[in-house]
Amino acid sequence: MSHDPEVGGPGTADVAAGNGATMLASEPVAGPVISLRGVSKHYGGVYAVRGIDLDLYAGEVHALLGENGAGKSTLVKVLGGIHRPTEGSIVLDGEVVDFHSPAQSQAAGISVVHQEPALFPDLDIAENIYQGRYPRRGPRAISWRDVYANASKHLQELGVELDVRAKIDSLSVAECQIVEIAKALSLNARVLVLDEPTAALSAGEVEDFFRIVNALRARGVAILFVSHRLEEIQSLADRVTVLRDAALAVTAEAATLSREELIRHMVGRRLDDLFPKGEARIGEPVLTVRNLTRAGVFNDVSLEVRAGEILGLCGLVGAGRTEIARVLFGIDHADSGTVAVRGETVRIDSPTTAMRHGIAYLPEDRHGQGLVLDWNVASNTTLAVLRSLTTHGLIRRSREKRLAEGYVKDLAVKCQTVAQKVLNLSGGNQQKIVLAKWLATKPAVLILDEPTRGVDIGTKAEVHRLISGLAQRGIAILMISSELPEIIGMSDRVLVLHEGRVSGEFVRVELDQETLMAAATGQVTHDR
Amino acid sequence: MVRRLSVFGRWESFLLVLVVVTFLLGSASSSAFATSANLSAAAASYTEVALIALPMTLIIIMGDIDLSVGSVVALASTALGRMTMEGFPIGLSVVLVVLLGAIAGAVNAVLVVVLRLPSLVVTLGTLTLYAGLARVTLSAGGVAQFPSFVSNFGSGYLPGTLVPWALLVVVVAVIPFAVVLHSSHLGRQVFSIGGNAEAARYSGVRTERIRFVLFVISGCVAALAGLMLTARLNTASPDNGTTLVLTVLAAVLLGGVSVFGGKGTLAGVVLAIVLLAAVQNSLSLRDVNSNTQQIAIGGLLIFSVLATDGFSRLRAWLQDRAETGRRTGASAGMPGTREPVTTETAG
Repeated sequence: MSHDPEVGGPGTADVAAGNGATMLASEPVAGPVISLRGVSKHYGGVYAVRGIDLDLYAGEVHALLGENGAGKSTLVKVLGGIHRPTEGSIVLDGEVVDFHSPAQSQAAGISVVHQEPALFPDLDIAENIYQGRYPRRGPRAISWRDVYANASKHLQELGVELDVRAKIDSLSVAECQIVEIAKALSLNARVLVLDEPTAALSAGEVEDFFRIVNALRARGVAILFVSHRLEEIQSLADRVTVLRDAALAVTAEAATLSREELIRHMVGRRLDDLFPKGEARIGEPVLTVRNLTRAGVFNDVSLEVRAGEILGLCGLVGAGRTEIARVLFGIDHADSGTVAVRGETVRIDSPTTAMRHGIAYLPEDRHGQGLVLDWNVASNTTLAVLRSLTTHGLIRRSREKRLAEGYVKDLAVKCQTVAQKVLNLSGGNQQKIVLAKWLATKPAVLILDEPTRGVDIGTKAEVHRLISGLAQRGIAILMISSELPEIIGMSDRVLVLHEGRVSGEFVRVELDQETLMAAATGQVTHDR
Repeated sequence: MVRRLSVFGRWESFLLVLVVVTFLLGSASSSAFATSANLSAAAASYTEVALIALPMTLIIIMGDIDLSVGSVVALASTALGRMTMEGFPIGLSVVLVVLLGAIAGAVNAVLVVVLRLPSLVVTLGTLTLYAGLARVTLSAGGVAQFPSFVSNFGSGYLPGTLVPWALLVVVVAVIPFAVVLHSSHLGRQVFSIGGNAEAARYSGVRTERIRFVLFVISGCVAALAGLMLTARLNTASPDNGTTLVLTVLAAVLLGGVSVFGGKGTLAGVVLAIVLLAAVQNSLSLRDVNSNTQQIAIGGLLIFSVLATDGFSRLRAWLQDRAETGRRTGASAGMPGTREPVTTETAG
């Protein structure tokens, strides 16, 4: 790294305002590419961010951390020209600039890659990269040869092999993000803002992604990397800025802050135990799956979950984790194999039959599959158990309200009333509502698919505590997760999938990230 | 679902105001308007629309559409005429015609639900298909020799009143539809399909079965409306009901049902039908010709879209203000429970 800001412990670094100036003074090479100076954005009396100072240098990866609502997105939008700061200024190459639109920010060399790529699904990769600014040959004609040649050149620079003629809707989320980054390259971006790029990626994809980010850093791009995942920050970032409650908590060298210190800065309190799977009495097998196969998706999968047990299911995206869950819940169908609940072989051909056998499934896509966003808390909570709330076929509203209020209390959902729309709740509270919906069905088997995706770190521990409590109540839990610390912290046993097959099974004492990764990437096949 | 809006903030209240205004203006502009005979005739002319609008409301709330209903009316009308010509007993004919409607609905359902084709395209196709079948069934034009039972039902009233029999059918039909839609678990499931079909399926809602059944019901009800129209006009003809679907859709959308599904009330739809009937009737009494009436009804529909849009913007604005207020209060003690601004990016 070319710069050396004075940072001691978190205590001294708390004073971040003077940091930039100090760095400029002691830094003969170059000043920051872009700086935020005392940037605030408020709506009415509410500050989304307040008095933020931030410097981004060429060739650094600067991590931006913070809980949901801490102001990360707002800052990203200020840089991207979507929001104008109410106070403070943006300084680009030593000159104060004022972005009135995303186009102006882009023209100034700033590219923002949003968490959910904003691409045209029906167009191919090259068309997306050059959308709206196709290379031309002549006044009216687009030079398609240049479009495709340049697009593949940018993808090659990133070291990825993707067909530039592939349609976006045939790509994975990871690949879409690569396309976004290639687009940024084609714009000669000097500042690249990555807004939670890894949230939807599997462990293997994250590695590839880091390789790309490192390559960009080597090219001298200033990268602002927004993330929830602490371990990523420690392995990737040069410096880190933590926001808390709309204000700057700390800016420091990433290496100087431990994981625990980062968390403390984020939440302003100590979270001693992130993943508190408590002791639970492991009982009889509840779900027994034998040789389950769905052609071309997963093969010969056998597993067993006992009462009170949490079985972790991990693997790269595409390894067949969610696909197994979908078959167990009756959304897709198996080609062969058997499923037994409490020793009795059952035929599951629809979610309804799965529910009848006591299986519940918390899906990975909360907005798409878990909630009716336009509905209130009560209606969402009761959707799976409506019939039990009826007398003579009519829903008893009072019973519905009571049921929902009970779960809101049990799960400590933060909402005003159960008549509040779930759309207006935070990700963590929305996830609790989906969980409540399934708890209302009194399941014997609970399948959790990425239970804490997009959930802020404070609520995350709470969700883990809830899951642990459910296991203690004797529910058999099958938990799919891409986050290895979550798998390791929560699971009694872990099954690792690689390309649709079980590549390893580990008990709690054997668990560590390296072993799991090795199995997930197919490097080792653990004999069962 | 449980919409916590004040009475004044509801679209239905606004429609009610419009209905009252229309009645006042109608009475003021023509002394014939507020007479029992006139109101009875006006009501009778909208009974088929009202009947078909009931299942249509549920189908649109579900996020689908059934454009073929007008042609099912025509098919039912010609089938009744043909069977009467062939000497079928009237009771058997009625049963067979309703069955025919069920089959027509089932064909839609198979294409839409089983083969997963878009209902807009499928029912646009069957609209033409059933209209063609109606012409084949009764190529010779109209039939007007029905048993007295039929014409009595079509032009008669409940004994001692001026309430047309057909209106009684509608009133009796509204009740189960309203109860099912707004109070039963099935109705809630219909809303869930329109609100988020995927989430509904993942919650154990039998989305395919519900959609299938509703298309079949839509066919049956359209056939029933075809029988009523045939009786009221005392004529079986392939032209009967061919323009009905547009009026039905106008009524349902004017009634506040979202064209994207997930939202709407039967009360709104019923009020919209009353409004349409009153507007059309008072214009007729003023000797406004039918072309101009069409302009008025078209204008009303556009107005309703503009007004609902304005309504939802106003509501969003009010909610936004309320929440800003809440957040101001909350932000002091509670560290960010949600992002102040949520990102919305197209995938």
